[in-house]
Amino acid sequence: MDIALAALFDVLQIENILASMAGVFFGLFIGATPGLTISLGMVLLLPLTFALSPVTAFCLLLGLYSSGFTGGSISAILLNIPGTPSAAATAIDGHAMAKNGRAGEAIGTAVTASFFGGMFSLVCLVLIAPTIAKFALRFGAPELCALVLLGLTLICSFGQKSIIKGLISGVIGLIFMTVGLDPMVGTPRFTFGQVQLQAGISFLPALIGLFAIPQVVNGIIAGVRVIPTYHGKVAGVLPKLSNLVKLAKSMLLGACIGTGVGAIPGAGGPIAVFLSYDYISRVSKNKGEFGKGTPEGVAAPESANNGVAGGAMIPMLTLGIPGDPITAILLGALMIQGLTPGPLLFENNGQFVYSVFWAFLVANVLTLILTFATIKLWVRIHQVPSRILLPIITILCIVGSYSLRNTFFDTGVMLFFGVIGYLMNKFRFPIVPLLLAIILGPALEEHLRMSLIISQGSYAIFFTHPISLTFLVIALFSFTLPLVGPLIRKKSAEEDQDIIKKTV
Amino acid sequence: MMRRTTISAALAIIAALGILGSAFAADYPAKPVQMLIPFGAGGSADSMGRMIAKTAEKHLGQNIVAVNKPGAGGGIMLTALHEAKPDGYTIGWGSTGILTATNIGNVPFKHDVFTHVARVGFSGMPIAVRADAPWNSFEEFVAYAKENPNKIKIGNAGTGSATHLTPIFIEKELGLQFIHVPLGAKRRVPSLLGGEVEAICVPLPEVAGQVQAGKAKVLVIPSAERDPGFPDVPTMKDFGYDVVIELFRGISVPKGTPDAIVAKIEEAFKKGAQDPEFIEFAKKNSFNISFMGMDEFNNYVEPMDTKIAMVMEETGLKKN
Amino acid sequence: MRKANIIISLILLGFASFYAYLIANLPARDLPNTLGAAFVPWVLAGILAGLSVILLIHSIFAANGNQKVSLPGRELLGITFLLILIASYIKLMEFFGFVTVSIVFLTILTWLAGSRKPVEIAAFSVTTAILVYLLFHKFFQVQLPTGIFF
Repeated sequence: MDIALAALFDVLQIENILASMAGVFFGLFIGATPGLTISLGMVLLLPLTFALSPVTAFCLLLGLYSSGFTGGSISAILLNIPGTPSAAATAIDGHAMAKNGRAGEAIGTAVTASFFGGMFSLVCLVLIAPTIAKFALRFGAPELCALVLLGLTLICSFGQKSIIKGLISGVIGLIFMTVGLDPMVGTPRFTFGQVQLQAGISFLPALIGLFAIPQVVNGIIAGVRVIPTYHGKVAGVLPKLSNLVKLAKSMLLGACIGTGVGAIPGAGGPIAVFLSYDYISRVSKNKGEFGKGTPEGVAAPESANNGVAGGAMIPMLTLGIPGDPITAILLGALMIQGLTPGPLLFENNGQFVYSVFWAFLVANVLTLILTFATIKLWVRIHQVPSRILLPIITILCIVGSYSLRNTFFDTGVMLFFGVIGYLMNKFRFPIVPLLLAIILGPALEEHLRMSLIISQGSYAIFFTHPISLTFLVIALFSFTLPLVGPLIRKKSAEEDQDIIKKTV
Repeated sequence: MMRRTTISAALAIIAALGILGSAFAADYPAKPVQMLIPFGAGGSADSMGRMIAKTAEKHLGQNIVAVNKPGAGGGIMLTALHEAKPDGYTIGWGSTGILTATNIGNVPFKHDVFTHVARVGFSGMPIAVRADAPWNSFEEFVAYAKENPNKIKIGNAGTGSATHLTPIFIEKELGLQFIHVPLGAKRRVPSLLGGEVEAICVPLPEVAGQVQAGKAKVLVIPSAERDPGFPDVPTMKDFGYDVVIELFRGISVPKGTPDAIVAKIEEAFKKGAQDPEFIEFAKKNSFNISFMGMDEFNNYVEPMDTKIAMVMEETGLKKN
Repeated sequence: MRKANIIISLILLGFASFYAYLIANLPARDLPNTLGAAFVPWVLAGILAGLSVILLIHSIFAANGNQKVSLPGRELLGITFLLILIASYIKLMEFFGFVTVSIVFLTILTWLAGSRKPVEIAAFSVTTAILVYLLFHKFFQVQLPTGIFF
């Protein structure tokens, strides 16, 4: 207990609070700008941390880590451009809320839910990290394959009005992701002799293109406003207590899924976010509201988002294994500070580990306060005229997609997916299935084939592993329900529409 | 309008002269130098590269800017380096991957399109098993593998990578047969600890923490000499086998870079590798600093390349 | 909508066949005991072809709804122009440098987006170009092409 208090005292030093605050500001900015990733932000801050004490360094980095996701949601809600891949699910209902003039409420909900998810995962990290880590280690190739498959079945739920079109959109996404080096043998596939294509299609440029380019094209060609205007006050910034109680279920569900999936090395945050969005839309009382702008549709993925952050730190601190690319950089920061990450970290540097907990807490609190304080400012972005905003968005998308790997090839990828996104909107093909497929596709094939190498060619491996079997059963239900559901319940045609429709 | 064209033409000429001028070795380096890194941010290749960039730039007299070019097993970065102007302003932070990526045949050139300027050091690439594995030494491991061919699963970073070739070298030398699982760099250690594979081949820094914590043990490190951090772990040479494979890291530039510029880069990295800050960082990351200048480095790379090419040919990894 | 769906399903069928043609020409280099490099692509090609046929049949027999969907020539022209604009922006940037070309690019975009005040356009383009350059090139260390000017 003494070391916990000593660690708290340490974190509350003025320079550490300032570092945390700087990290939070930086994170909000990075997250909100399409193309600038949290990983890039961390790498830029790393050289600065050489000179800092370990605690100050982690205050800075964790500030960035916890606020980056929140920043990503702000642009998702206001502009329908997810600043981070994990914010793609938030964009669905968040932007719909903004269109209805509830942007302030949407951001308020997002921030509160993020805070909840972050706190929840922190509590798990402090209390039951070893248990979760042990469980997460049981996720091998067949388990990951089943989890990804489960994620892909969500394609059906996001199938908007036409399930066929949803499925086509998903399959096309999967096909695009087969471009590049084969994940097992390294044979170039569908690269047309281009070395650039060997790396495959990076999903960030694709994501930026799918969301942002249709906005730009519509804005310039058809004069459609990028940001919905509304008059009157920014209402409901601070969520009412009664509303929060209503959202408790969404936030808890999101936090659990986020923390759990985050702790599995190699699973990835976006799965958690989409899974939680999908599940809350199934168990919620007002299913029909999803896609039209319901706070529940913002709360669940946002809570999952920051749950992933704490979840990914579980294997990092207990096992010395990063849960995601960002915690990999945090591990690098540990090494730079001369601390050896790994199972011994807690024994050798107990007080430092407590400092990390406190620093994460402080970062979450500061993100909450700073975002609330600036919501009115953010929301006012709709007063910026389109003729200014459109060029800014365009140039940021171009430079942003370039900056991921310092190549204009990725800008080309961004434009390609931009055109696809535009055509899909036009001909009523839902975009979210394509997005899901792009995020999950490579992992599916890789883990499928890896499982078979491990089992020496036997498919039984998927059914003899209990976790994998469980996921497969859930996946089967989740795949068939949206297809069969409307047929079984032969009610009025309108109701059928509502069941299938989760408009994007 | 006319005047503006004249002015811009004049400016263009001045700028062009500036560019030409900067190619002269005497002025080098006249602007920041880009250092291409074949992996994304966060890994040990990246952090090591950024660290040496930081210490070497003090001696180069210009900023060295790290630029990540991940993808295609290093192929993207190698292609970018190959296509860059040989003026010393684009240099590559290469590793053994420079030999594996060019030999597997996904890029249309060989390692000799580059001048290998300086080797900074290397990491061992041990075979690691779980701490509770039944084998306490490499001999026991080999004995088991001999009796049970196609039983032991060894994880690697990807088909054709250095961590795949190391177990293949061992297989060939000792007449064993493993199952090679291309787990990928991210999932190697979790898969080992989770029991999915019996062994992994992995750069030492990634597994050192687990070994110290008693979660894993390393059976053999096939370096030229015993690793200073793990003096009790034998090399393959200790058993009389001619298997030496190390994960070297160093600087390569496009062929045709003027000698005087190459010499400046070599010097800067030599001094950078001796910087106390880098020495301390390397020690903590199980990276053995062992500097080689251009000639020595090329002599070191050449036989390794021949060996890798041979093994790839034999195992059918090489693309035709 | 019906006509559009029929055309789309035919295009998708064409795409599936093209994809299948590419798969058939993949080099064989596989590991033992697992699925080959062509397996997953074949499955995907099959599913896409199947779904396209379903969409085709569905659209042929569907009543012609009153939703009209079309891609007017004006829009198509607009997108093409925008793409060419961005492509030339990127190409010219490598030669002339980021800031210079960005100012021109932003000027055109701002004009397209509806601004007609020369002072506003100029002030906005110059500041944005310089700010983006400082932010990305100097602060984030993203190596933007500097070309012969800037």
